[in-house]
Amino acid sequence: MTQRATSPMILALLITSLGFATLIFAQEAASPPLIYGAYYTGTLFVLYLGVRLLLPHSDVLLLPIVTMLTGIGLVMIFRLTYDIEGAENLATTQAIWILVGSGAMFIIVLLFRNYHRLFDYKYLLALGAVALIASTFTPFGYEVNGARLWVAIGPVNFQPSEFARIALVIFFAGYLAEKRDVMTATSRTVLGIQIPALKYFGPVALVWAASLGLLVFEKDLGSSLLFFAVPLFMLYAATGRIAYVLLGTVLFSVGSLVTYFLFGHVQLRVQSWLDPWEDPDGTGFQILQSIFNIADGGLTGTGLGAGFSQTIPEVETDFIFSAIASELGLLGATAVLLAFLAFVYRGIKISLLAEDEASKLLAFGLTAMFALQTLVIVGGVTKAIPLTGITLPFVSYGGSSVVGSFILTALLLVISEKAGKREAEETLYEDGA
Amino acid sequence: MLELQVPLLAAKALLLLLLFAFIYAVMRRGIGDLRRVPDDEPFEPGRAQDGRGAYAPRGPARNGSELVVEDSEILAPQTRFSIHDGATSIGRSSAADIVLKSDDYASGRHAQLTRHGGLLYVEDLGSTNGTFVNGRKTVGATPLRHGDTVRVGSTTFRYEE
Repeated sequence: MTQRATSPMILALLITSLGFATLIFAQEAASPPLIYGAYYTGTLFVLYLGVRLLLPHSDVLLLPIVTMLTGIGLVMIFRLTYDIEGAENLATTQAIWILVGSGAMFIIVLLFRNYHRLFDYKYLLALGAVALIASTFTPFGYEVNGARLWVAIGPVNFQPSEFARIALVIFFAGYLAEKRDVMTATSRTVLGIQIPALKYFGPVALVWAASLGLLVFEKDLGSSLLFFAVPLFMLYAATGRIAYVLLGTVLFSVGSLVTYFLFGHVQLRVQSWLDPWEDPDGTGFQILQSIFNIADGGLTGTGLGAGFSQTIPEVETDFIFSAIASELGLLGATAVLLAFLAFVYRGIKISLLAEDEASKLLAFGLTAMFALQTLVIVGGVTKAIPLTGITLPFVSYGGSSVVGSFILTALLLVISEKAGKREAEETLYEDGA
Repeated sequence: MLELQVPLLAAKALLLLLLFAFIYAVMRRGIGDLRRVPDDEPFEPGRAQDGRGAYAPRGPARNGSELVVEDSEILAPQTRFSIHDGATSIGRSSAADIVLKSDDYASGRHAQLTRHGGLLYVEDLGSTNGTFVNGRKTVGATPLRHGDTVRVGSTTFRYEE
């Protein structure tokens, strides 16, 4: 585990400062209140020092990556909205969400160092997750752009699925670790494929189907994809049976076909992916603007503030990667993707070093979810796969997404603390022997 | 016009430079462990210590390695099990590669042997009573050396390369 990362941390904060400085001095943007910048820098640095103090063996390298991604996100959100009437304060709102996320991370690091307690409540967590997703169908829920995934309770608006999926990963990790042995031992072979006994597989399938079904009816395609694939990845990681991959592929193909014919909005997405020129001013507009802007960026980008990515609808949330590719170019976009890669690599490493199966599966599930989310949205905005609306973790504007990603990182940190401690003890033992 | 372009260009170049300096700093710390010589690799003066030399499997997987029963309540002593490539499972279940039939101390799928990078690793599969290498309970995958003993349930094996 990497225990010191002060210089990447400072570099990440420098990148953010330089980004804001460029916009304020070169593009003559009105400066956001400087105090927010001070809060942001201070909080993340204190968070970094706090994690090093509280979890001395944890993989603290995750924090500079988080800082760099949220920083780039803040700079881009500010650049995209500072001159738009009614949205001037989006960057400061995002900064507040980052503070809330940091607070959530700090609480988890402080209270859940013994995260194994979470596995004792796995059924409750699964129930809670399904209830959270279902809550959008209550009077508190409301629709945005045709998808019913928001809940407003008093002054707080949030997307429950962002939090539900973390709870579900904890459930799957706890359940699969407990039942892995009986699931493989009691499986029967049907047509050369091993099928586990329904008794043990039942709860997994039930929770999986319930959350997936709800999301499909909410028309939240991106989250549906994550909820579908991540449990399958975890099943495969837990059992090592290729049958699950095959089964998953078949289910995915059938499910995609069914949703394609059932829902008009899925057909629209596929059509605008296959041929955006069919309706360049309507359904294909967003994706066409996205690829125009990416092309406009070229190798080194137009420079901050000089691009035209404000022409993309929803650019500050789903399409923020296009704006980065446009203004920082292929090189800047590559750097951002490399930062995501480093995060995922550390996540897998934590999973490998974790001592018990539940922790391994939890770290793997969280990392797989993070990686898949990045892949789905970056693939979507570059027209490699059909677009499904989902946020780019840490970078996109959105409170629920930012706080959810901070919670995910906090869980990885507490798992890595246990693993790192064991590694340190073993090294000590071997050196002493 | 030119006066305006120069600071913009400088800022742009500096930002990209900083981004990659960051990536370099993260990668240097984050993936350094990919190049570290594993602890079990003995240091031999004169042998190439570069990443390739240390990690290359020594020829094709040796087929000669075996587990030999030393002491058991259920198997005859000196019974030999050859370890094939891929994963070899040990357990009470009849689906295991090495079956410990009716051993009350062994779990259905008790332990697993896997060959990785020229070393054979034994890993406990969450058994009730644990897997022991040289009398010490294993945690995670443990590499085996020639002559190590592995105890699963009531059976003690000796590993021979």
